[in-house]
Formats: sequence, structure tokens, C-alpha cells
Amino acid sequence: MASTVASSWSFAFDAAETFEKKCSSCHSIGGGDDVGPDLKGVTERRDSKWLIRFIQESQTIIQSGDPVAVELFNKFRQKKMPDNDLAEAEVLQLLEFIKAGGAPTKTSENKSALKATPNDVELGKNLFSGSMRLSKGGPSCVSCHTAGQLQYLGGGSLGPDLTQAYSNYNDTGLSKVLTKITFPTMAEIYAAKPLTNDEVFQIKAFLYSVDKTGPVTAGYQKKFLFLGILGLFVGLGVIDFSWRSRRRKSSRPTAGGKS
Amino acid sequence: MDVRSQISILFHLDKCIGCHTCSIACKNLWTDRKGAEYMWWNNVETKPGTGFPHRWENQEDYKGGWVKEGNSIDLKGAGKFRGLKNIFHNPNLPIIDDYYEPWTYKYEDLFNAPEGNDQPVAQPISQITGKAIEIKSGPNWDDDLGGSPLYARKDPNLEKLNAQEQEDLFKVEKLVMMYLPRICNHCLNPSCVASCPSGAIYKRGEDGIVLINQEKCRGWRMCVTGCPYKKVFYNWSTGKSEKCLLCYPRIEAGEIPACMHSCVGRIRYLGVLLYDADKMKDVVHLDEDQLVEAQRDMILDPRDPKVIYEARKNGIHDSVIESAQKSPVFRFVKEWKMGLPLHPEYRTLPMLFYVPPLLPILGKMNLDVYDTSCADYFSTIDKARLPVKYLASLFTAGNEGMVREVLKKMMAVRIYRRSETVGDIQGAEMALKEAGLTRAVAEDIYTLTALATLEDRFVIPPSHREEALAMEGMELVKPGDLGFGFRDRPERM
Repeated sequence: MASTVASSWSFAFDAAETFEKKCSSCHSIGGGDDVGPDLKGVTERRDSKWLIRFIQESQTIIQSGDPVAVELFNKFRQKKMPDNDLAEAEVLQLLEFIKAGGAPTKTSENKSALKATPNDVELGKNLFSGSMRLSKGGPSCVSCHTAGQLQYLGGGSLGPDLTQAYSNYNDTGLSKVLTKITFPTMAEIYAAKPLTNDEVFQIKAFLYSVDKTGPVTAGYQKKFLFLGILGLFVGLGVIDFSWRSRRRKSSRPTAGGKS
Repeated sequence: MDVRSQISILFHLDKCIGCHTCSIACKNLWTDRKGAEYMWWNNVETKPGTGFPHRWENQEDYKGGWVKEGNSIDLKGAGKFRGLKNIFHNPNLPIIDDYYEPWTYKYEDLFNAPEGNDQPVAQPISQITGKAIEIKSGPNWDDDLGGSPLYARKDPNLEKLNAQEQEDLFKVEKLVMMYLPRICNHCLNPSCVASCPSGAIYKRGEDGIVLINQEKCRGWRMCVTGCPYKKVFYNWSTGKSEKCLLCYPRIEAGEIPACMHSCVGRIRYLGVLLYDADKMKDVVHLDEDQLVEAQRDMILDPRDPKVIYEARKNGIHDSVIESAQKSPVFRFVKEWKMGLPLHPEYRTLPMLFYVPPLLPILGKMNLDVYDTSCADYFSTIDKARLPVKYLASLFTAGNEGMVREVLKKMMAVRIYRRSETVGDIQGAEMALKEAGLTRAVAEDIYTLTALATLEDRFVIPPSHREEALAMEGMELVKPGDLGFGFRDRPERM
């Protein structure tokens, strides 16, 4: 987040760089629809006031029931676009950049997950679950995400469940998202420790295989609660046993019982 | 020879009337503070009875004191490994019900009650919670055998007696009790000091008083378990432990400790003893019945030139040696061998000694007369209502001969004085001879027992406080700067 704050304060606002950093993983300019819609001609299609607000806080607009926004949201599989901490003037510059046609769109160099071998899937699973480290040192996906039937307790629950990520983002979208991670929470973490192309492919392959198998109801939360309660009682039992010879009652003689 | 000085105390139980004045003096002076309401650094117990806290002598429950381990000793309830293992949960602590829940009364109810048909009463309220309570126990709940079927019968010392002897104690015509005033024993081998994980408890080098440094105490409460006499108390308000400090601020000013000064029966004696600390290691692991004798052997004669020489070498001031020569405790304990420590089997070498009480003899119904007369006075010791076995369990770890010896001396002095003043009995010479006393010694015992003045009973060594203060650079401390409590408030308060 610090970097976005810093950029909004910098005097030399670079629209191209901002687009590359914040938009390009989901949007193209003239490259066709991706995770989000193609932005070519967007400045003619939509009113610029609406655009500025949407770029700044898309979810608020969708929740306010704006018909265009809701339609777009549904059309693009309800993927939420992160809010952007950009000033109005900066957004205008960005729109200018889009109007001018932007930079030439780079085509993804990553292979489609459909070409993955079972070995790739296995490697992807290892990378996802952390049994193999990411080569640049980024944290494993499992620390925040879960996908499919992953170990006994699944992965982390801080980030969303990625079981259906493949069908949500499609192959190229996923490649982009993983190559250049822009989600606000993740961006900072992976900025200096990006994934390599091979890793992107392997993780993609794993997510594809998980998606293909279909959704699972693993009930991780219930398991977690159950294990927690069980652990509590086992712990109390161990304490009770360790100090079994402790003084249990007062030695004050009482008329009722013996002391 | 490693000569040390110790301020030592003697309680003459034959003179104790069980009035609790000592307890009140101590309470008013030291423990009427918040968190200390339940503490009685000085308390008076009726024996047989459970005492305060209830059944404190039952070390299988409270795990206090030392136990013999081959040629050494080990703490029963704490120590290095056991203490560390239980540091966050000491399983042997007394709970408030073992002491009692301290209470006061809502006295304002007496004045503010609305007019009615009944007399207003002051309701008891807990000094811990402030709420109304039903009083279930107190620090001397079994005073004067109150509730004896419940309390006196649970006295741990009775376990040494057989069933018949126990039953005899509770027959109406044989019913008996004695008083046992207790303060901290300021032991030579204190188990509270040994069990403290913070190193907050220490035995003062100059006079052997055992104190808790309130700044260093972390409230682990291992000392509460460690002390077999249960004379270390935990203050729930300050989160630190406290104990009897033998009124050291008074002693340093040449004053008599409050409990002793206020003693109505004049049973208390205080004076310096010199002892040989080198012998300690060999003494503490001896068999139980040898402990009292061995502890007595550690005490040195302050008139012996060799002892004086060694004492001076150890930095003991001449005025302290002089004070030791006049010590009444030395006379009772070492010279006359009449002072016995309480429960020596805990191996802490307590430096508070007791002269056991000479109790009424057992009578029998003779032609409708309750007859207590008997031909031979000495045989009465074994006919005393409280069996010698019971006293031996209290004072000599079961060595009955030692108790009998003391009782014989007391009896001999009685017979001797009766023959002197009334002249109606014979055999004083015989009695003295059998007790191993001469007329002169018997006279001395009588004088120090019955006629002693304040100066005879309390020989307080000069503390040379001026030297100590100068050493610490505190010459400019003004009156009122020192006292019990905190100069810097503990954070949690």
C-alpha cells in the first residue's frame, strides 16, 4: 500500500507505468476482453465522471445499484476490481493514456495449462502447498489460500479459496495475475519476489487440475473448531495428570466429611 | 570454627496463659494493611488442635521443610528441579480456606438501621471481597478446645499416639490443653530461603533475622510451601510474600519486639546466641532423635576465650559478644538444657525454643473425691494428662527422654521452692539430684523463670546501626523514611 500512497503523492505521475502496474494484469487496450473488459474506446463508451469514480471505488458503485456497473460486474464473473488510491487528476491522465491507445499489449508468453503433464501438476501442488519453496523466496500460496482438497486442514483462510480460480480468471488471465501480482494485499509482498515463468505455469497447472475435479466441501472450518476443542481438552487433561498430586481442598476440618 | 551470631528467642510455655495479646500487638503493628488481613505473623494455638493454617504440621499435605537424602537433605516441596517444574503452578499452596477468610463488621448498620422491633446487628463482611459472608473459620477457631471433636482430634501430632491414648485425651476428666504461641523461627537452615527462585529471602549476617526483600520478591510463593511452619504469607494486594521480621526496626533501636514486649505472662525471652556454622552440614542430616542434641552442640559458650577469639575474627562486635554472655536464651537452652525447638524433624534448625509446659497430673475418683495426690512426685510426669509422647512429637521429634529430662528439672525446681517457702514436703535434695541440678542452679532457674525483670528477659545486642548506615551512605536518612512497605510503588499496584 505504501507504494500506491507514494505514487499518488509523486509529482511526476507516469500514466504508462501506473497502467502497467495496476491495470494491465486484468485489462488490455485493444487486446480483447481478459479478466476485465478491453479498455479500447472506453472513454467514448462511458462518461468520464463515471469512469473516474469507477476506477477509484468500483465496488461502491456496484453496490449502489448502478445498472451499467452491475451489468459489467455480472458479465465478468463478478471479479472484484480493487479500489485505487488515485487522485482525480491522475485518473484523468490515465484515461488520456488509454484514449491514446496505450502501449503495445504484450502477449502472454506462458504456455496454456492444458498442456501440463501430471508431473507439472504435482510440482504446482508442491509449490502451492509450500513443500517446495518459490525460487525467488516469495511466500507459498498456502499461507493465505486454499484450493481443492489440500492436506487435512486445508490452506490459510486469510485470502479467498482458489479452487475455482482457473474458471474465474481463465488461462491467460491467471498467467497475467500470477506473473504481475497486483492485488493490493499481495502486490507489496511479491514486488521484490516475483514468480518465475515455470512456477506460474506449474501453479496454473495445479489450479486447473483442482478446478477440473470440481468444488469440494472440505469443511475445514468445522474441522478446525473440532480440533481446537479436542486440543483444549487434551491439554487440560495433560495438566490435570501432571499435577495429579496437587492439594485439592482445604485442610479445614468440617463437620460433614473427613479431612 | 565459623562463629556467627543469632538473635534467638525462648517461649516458656509453662507460663503462657493463651491471651493472644502478642497476636494483637503484632497485628496492629504490622498486618492491618490491605492484603495482609488474614496474616498472623504471631499466633497462639491451642494444642491439641489443628492450628493456623489448619493442620500445618501435616507435611504430607503442605510439603514444607527438608527431607533427609542420604548424607544430605533436600527440600520436600520445592528445590531446583521441582521448583522450576512447578514455577507457574505451585501445587502445594495453602488456600485461603486453610487460613480463614478475614472479616470485619458493617458497624454503621448499628447506627443507620431503620427503627424496628429487633436490635440492629452488625453484619460480618469479608475483608477480601467486601461482601457479606458467613463466618466459617478464624485464626484461632479451636481456641481453648472449641469444637475439639472436630479440631483437636485432627491434630497431626495425635497420630503418634495409639488409639487408647487418643481416646483418653478426650474424656471429660482427662481433658487437657496447652498453648503454643508461634512466630517465625528465624531458622539456621531456613527452607524458605532455599526455595525462593528470586533470591529475595535472606538471613541477615549480623543477627540471623530472616527477611524478604520486597523489591526482589516476584510472588512465586515457593517460600509459602517451603516453610514447614507456614509462617510466610502471600499478600494478595502487593503480590509479594511477607513474614515476621522479628520487629527488626525495633531491635535495631534497642527496643523489644512488639509481641514480646506486650506478653502478659512474661513467657518470652530474647537474646543473642553464638553458634558454629561449620557444624551445620553434619547436623542437618542426622537421625531425627539426635537433631535436638546436635543443634544444642552448635551453640557455643560466649565466655570461652577461643570462641571469643573466633567471633572477633568473624567481625562480631565486642558488644554483641558481651550481650551473648548475658543472653537468657543461652541459659535456658545451652546451660540448663530446658529449651527445645518446635518440630526439629523439619531440619530447619529453628532458633525459637520452647520450655514445655508442666501439665496437671491425671486424677482419679477416690471415695467421691477427685484425688490428684500421689506419693512420688516424679512419677507424676508420666501421669500428666498430656502424654510425654505428645510433647515429644512437638519438640523433640519423638525423643521422649529429652522431654522427660526437662520436665524433671521443672518439677525439681518446684519441689525445691515448695520446700524452701512452705516447707511442707520432703525430698527436695533427692529431686534436685535426680534432675541433675544443684541448689544454686535451681535457684537461678527459679529466678529467671519467675522473678526476671524486663532487662533480664530481653538482652538486645546493639545493632550499631550508625555503622551500617554509614556503610550504605545513608547517614542522612531521617526518621519516617524507613518502615515496612514500598519506597517505590510496585508497578502492579
